[in-house]
Amino acid sequence: MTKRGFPTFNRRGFLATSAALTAAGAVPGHATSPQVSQNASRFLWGAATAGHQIEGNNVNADIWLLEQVTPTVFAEPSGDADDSLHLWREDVDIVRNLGLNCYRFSVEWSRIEPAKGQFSQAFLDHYSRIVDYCRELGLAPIVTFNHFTTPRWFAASGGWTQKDAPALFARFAERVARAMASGISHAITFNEPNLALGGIWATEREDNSAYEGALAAMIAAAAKASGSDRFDVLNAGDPRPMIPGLIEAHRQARAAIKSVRADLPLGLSLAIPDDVGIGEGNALERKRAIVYEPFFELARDDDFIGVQTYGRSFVGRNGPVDGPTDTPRRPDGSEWYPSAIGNSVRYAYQATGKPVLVTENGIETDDDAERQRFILGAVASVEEARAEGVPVIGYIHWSLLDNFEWLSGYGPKYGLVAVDRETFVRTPKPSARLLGRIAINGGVEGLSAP
Amino acid sequence: MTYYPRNFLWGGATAGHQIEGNNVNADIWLLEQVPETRFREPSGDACDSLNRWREDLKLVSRMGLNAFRFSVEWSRIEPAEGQFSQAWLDHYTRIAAACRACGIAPVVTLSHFTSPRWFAAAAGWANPRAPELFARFAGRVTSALGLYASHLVTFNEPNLPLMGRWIQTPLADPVRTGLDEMLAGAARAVGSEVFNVWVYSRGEDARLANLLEGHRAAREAAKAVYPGLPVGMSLALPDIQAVGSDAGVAKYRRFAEQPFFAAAREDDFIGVQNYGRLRLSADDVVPPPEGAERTQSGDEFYPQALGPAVAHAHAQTGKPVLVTENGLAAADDGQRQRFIEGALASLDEQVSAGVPVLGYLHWSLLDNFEWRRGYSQQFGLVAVDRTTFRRVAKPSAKTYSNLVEARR
Repeated sequence: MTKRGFPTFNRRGFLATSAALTAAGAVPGHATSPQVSQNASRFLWGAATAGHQIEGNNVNADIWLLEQVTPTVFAEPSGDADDSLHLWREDVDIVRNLGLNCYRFSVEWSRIEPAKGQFSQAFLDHYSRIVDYCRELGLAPIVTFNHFTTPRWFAASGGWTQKDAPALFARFAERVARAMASGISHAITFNEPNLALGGIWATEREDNSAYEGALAAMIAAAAKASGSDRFDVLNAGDPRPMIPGLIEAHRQARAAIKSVRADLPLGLSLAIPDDVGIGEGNALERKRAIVYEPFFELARDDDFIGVQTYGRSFVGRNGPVDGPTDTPRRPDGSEWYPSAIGNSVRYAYQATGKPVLVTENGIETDDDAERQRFILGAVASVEEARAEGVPVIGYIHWSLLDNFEWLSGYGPKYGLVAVDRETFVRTPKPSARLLGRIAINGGVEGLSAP
Repeated sequence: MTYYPRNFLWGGATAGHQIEGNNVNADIWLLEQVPETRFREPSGDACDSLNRWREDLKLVSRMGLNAFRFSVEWSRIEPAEGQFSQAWLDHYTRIAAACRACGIAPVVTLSHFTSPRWFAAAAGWANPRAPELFARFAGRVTSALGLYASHLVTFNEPNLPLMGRWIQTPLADPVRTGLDEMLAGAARAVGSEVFNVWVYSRGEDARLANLLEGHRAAREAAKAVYPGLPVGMSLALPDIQAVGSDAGVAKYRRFAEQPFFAAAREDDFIGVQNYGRLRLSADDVVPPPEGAERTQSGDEFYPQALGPAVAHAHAQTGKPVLVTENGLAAADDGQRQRFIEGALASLDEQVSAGVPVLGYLHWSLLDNFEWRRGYSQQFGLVAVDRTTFRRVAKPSAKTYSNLVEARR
């Protein structure tokens, strides 16, 4: 989860989706939807990853540097991650062997353009090989062009606040498209560009000054280590000055990618918890206007909308509030509510009129039985939305692998597949087999979890 | 025909930064990028050997060679001080193991000019902790791939910065022009006071002492893991010839050879890297004779320098010699063919005379990134397309192959 990433830090004020994401309500006995789409065979069932979180040694990326400076707010550095830089074929093999039909991964801008204007054919070839290998195995490759990380040089020169940021991103996107667009199934420009806005809408916020101070100190250290007076990273500071550049970057990248392949389905992925307004005069609409609407406006000109949901979020009059206490709970006390994704899918479709691709949905847990129950409930909720007529393109679970969860390091486990931190040996968990079975069945009917 | 033992190493040599590409965490990568750079062009993708190293091994194999020299990149293996990458240790171990699987002896260089950025920013070899840092790295590498390695080379041409030190009138040294500015630019780019890169330093005494201690400590660290693994260092050893007075030669040897030969006497072998001769008067370098044939780099074409350099290194150290580099920049591959013939003929003489020689590794297997000269000069037995990275063996590869076959 991305949330996973920054937000799992459970700091509501910052990367605020954390607040949004902690909730749960039980799946009222997930009696599964009887409805299985006619063209279930074309529904995308997959697992998601992101470059920085699995490749390892992404040393030229802004966030790699943030992990290394003193002080840092990262629990640990990303290090080798899952060594997917070398072992990506194993990852793709696993996706295929499980019975899934699509694989979502991201390309790392800092590898493809290690210095401004200097493009690496070698790394374009590298990522093209992944696309080709997916196709060879019959998998749809879903490619994220930007999954949080940008090159160090980009951050040190102003990140998304610099004037030519949209043009720089579009140039990169066009290079990627030229290299591999013909093989890509779906293109995602940005992963959760709205994540950092998750805390902005509240008019009363918790005092996060200590954390914000730590963030600022980290950014200052990264700037110094870059010989710069700035180091602008979307998810590590006030996002507002960056959003306009990022929105324009999506537009220009879309045009650039479409200029290479007009019929390539393209969209962006938003962090959309299942927002629930609590009480009279709650701020639900204000939150939606600030956190989602600018991106929904973009999505209306896209081909699909990517939705990423990890639970419910409760919206009070002035900010996030605690939800009802009488809903089912997880062992840690947080809400058990796997069907949040169904509601987010409905909402995103209503707001944009676009087909929905669930690009992430998952649960942080060390108990794989809980993950299996979560998957059944989540998929059932998506099936219900489909039965109501919401066009859903696919369900992509976060994450294929246990991986580097940003600020939280390697603690949180979101993977369908465990990865040994020393040998990088991959071991599928029972939840991986369950999702594969769902894919082969075309739905959850008849399946159960421990 | 001279008798060469059956296990004599015939090979091709490479270096990580020059062929891998995108070695972005290395000190020299940054030097290529700063506004004050003195590099003709950045290394970029190089030969993409990071991904295509199996093709490189195949080339070695097809040429009938039995040795491959490559270097491990410290900045990949230890991307931040004390943080070691098992993933990259695995990568280089795969290369070494793959060599063995096809009958090729891997000669592994620990430091081929590049260091991690963090090492340069922490004062490089002026840092009193440098020897222990390097030794720790050496120990990790040896633990990972030492079982497969044939020979371990600690440093590549550590004597290079000393080769100008003997000249009395300090250096109207065109070679040094702009180097200090470039290093200062790199220091600014990483927010550091200093950015020390040995090969672009003046070989200051304190740093040299530190580096030689680093060599010793790395050797001990490697031996602690695999005591039988042969360890040495590779020196730039032109055939030094006196013109008139031999006072210049004596001074040159005192600076650029003796400290290293002294260190090598504790090693298992001495690595010799020769590209021709260097003629010295009492106080300066003497240009090549009028009308001498030149190579692409403008140096004198003088392949027969190899034999005397080998003999000298052995005589000074008492150690067996491994020719870890010998070659030339040549746009005309025919010149390379003649060079290899001449060089091997001069080597034949020394081998016949009983000088213990372990192997001959031609520089270079591939046309590659020749440091400040970028991609403008071709040292390779194999051409590499700069866009597709396709490798095409040149006629000299065949020549070399035949000359090796004849000596088996």
